[in-house]
Amino acid sequence: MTVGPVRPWRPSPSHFRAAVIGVVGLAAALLFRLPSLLVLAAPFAIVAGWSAATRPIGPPVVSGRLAPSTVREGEGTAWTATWSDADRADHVIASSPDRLWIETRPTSGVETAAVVDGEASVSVPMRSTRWGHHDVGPIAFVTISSWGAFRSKGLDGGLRISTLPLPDRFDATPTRLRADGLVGLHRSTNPGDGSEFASLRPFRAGDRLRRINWRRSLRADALHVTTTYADQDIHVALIVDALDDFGVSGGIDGAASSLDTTVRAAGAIAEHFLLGGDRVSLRILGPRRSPNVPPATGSGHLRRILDVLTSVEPDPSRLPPIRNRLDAVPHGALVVMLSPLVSPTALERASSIASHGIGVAVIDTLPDDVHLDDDPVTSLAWRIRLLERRREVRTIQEIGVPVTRWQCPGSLDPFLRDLVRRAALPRMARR
Amino acid sequence: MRVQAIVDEFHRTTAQHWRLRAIAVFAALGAVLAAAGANGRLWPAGLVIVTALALASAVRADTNVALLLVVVVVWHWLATIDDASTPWLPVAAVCLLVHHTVTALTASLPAGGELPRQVLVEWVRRTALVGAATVALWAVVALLDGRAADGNGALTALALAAAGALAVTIRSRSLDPNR
Repeated sequence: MTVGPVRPWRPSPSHFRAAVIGVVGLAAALLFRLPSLLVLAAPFAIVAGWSAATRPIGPPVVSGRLAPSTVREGEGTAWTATWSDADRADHVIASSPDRLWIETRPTSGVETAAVVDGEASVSVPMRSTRWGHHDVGPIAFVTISSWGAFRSKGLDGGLRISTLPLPDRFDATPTRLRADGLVGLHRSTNPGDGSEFASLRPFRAGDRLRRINWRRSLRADALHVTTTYADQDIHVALIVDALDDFGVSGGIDGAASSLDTTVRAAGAIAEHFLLGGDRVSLRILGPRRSPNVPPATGSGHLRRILDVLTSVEPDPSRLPPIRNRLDAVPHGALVVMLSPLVSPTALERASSIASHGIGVAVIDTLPDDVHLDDDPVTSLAWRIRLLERRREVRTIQEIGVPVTRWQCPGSLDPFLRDLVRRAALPRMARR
Repeated sequence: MRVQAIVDEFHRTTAQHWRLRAIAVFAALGAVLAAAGANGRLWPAGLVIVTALALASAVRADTNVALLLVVVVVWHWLATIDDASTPWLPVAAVCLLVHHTVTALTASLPAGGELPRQVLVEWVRRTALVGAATVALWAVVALLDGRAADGNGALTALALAAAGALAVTIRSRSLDPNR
C-alpha cells in the first residue's frame, strides 16, 4: 500500500551550514585576500556544490504495510516499507514510536537501510504483548540525499494491531450434561439418533428398518433393534464482567490483571467447548456498545468470540441494571460467568440466572495481590472490600451458585460434576 | 518530564551513535588544537567554548550550533594565524570537514538508530575525497603564497564571478521549485 503524502525534498541545516560557510568564506577570502580562509572554506564549498548537484528531483514512492495486522498475544508482526524512484538518495530511516504493549526490535524501533539503484527496503519487527487493539503508528520515515543535504519526510499513520487474547490452558473432564441440542460430539443420557451404542430391544412400531439387528433377531426369533444414545451439544453461555480492571497488567510475559485473566479464561473456555463441537455464546457486562455473540459452533465462531474479547475495555461508568429476565440465556444452557467479583453486579446477575433454574458457575478472576498498595488507606480500603466480597460470595454459594478461582485446567470440573449430579435430581424453578 | 526524556534518550542511544558523537567532538577540538599548533599558544577559553559548542552540536545535530562552532574556529584562526603555508591549516580544515560530515550524518538519525556499514563506508569515501581536494588546494595556496606574486584584478574578478555563480547554483538547486 502506497504511503502518502511523502513531502518534497527540503534542505537540511547541514546543507545551510555548508552553503553559508562555503560561499561566504570563498567570497570573503577573495575580497580580503585571505588564503587561509580559502582553504578553511573550500571543503564546505565543495560539499555544498556536490550536494546541490546531486539533489534528488521528485519525492520517492514509498509503500508500507503492516502484516499480519491480527496476531495472538506474544506473536510478532512487522511493518515493512519499500522505496522506489529514490534515485540519488543516500539512505533511509524509519522510526516507530514507543507504544504501550508493543515491543519493537531493535528496542528503539529505528531501522535504516542504504539506497541502492533508487530502491531500499526496511522492516520494523514488532511484538504485541497484550490483547486488545493497539495503535502502532504513525511510523515516521525519512529519505536522505548525499551529505545529508536534502530530506524527504513522510508518515505512515492509521496502523493498528488487533491482538487476540491467548487463551489459557484449559480442560474439563468429559461430562454427560443434559442439553437441548441433538447434534454434537457429546453422548447424551437420552436415547436417540446417534452413533454410541445403548442397548438391544424388541422392535416397536415407528423404529427405523436400518436399526434392525438381524443377528439378534434371528437368534431371538423376533425383530430386535439396536438403540443408540443421542449425540448432543452443550450451549455454553459465557458472561464476561468488564466493569473494571483490577491489578497491574504486565502483558503476556508479566502479571495478569483481573481483566487479563477474565479475557484469557473466556477464550480458553470458548476454545475448549467449541473444539468439542458445542455451541458458545458471549455476553459482555459493562462497556457500552459491546456486541454480544449469539450461540454458534465451529472454529470461525471461536475467532468471532476472540474478536469481541479483543475489543473489551473496562467501563466502570456504566453499571448495567439488574433485570429479572434471563437475558436471552436459554433454559438448559451452561452459564459461566467470569468476574473479579468486586462489583456486586456480577453476583446479582448470577443469582438472577440461578433463580430460574439454569446452571451457572462463577469464576473468580481477581488477582491475589490486588490489596497490596503503598498507600495504607488504599490498602485498608481493599481489605475491607475483600471482607465484604467474601461475605457476598458465601451468600451466593449458599443459594447453589458455585464460585471457583480460575486455575486453568480443571477450573470447571467441580462445577460440571455438581451440575451432572443435580441434573439427575428433581428441581423446582421459579416461573 | 523533560529530564526523564533526556534519560530515556541517553539509554536508547546506540554505541555507534556515541562513537559518531565522539568523533564530532574530537574533530572540533582537533581544529582548535591545530590552531594552537600553528601559533604555538593554546587558547583555553576557546577550548572551553568550542568543547561546549561541539557537545551541543553532537547531541543536537539537527540545529545551527555547528555553524556557530565553525564560525568561532575560523574567526580564531584568522585572528591569530597569518600563515597560509603552515601544515596545520589543512589539518584544521579537514577537522572542520569531519565535524560537519559527522554532524550531517547524525542529524536525521534518531538516538536508537544504527546506520548500515555500507552507508558509513560511502560517507568515509566521500569525506576522504573532499579532504584530499582540500589538501591539494592548500598545497597550491602554499605554493602561490611563497611566490608573493602581485595581485591580478582580472583573476580576482573571475574568481569572484565563479563564487557568485556557485552561490546562485546552490541557491537555485536548494530551494523547492514549487515554493
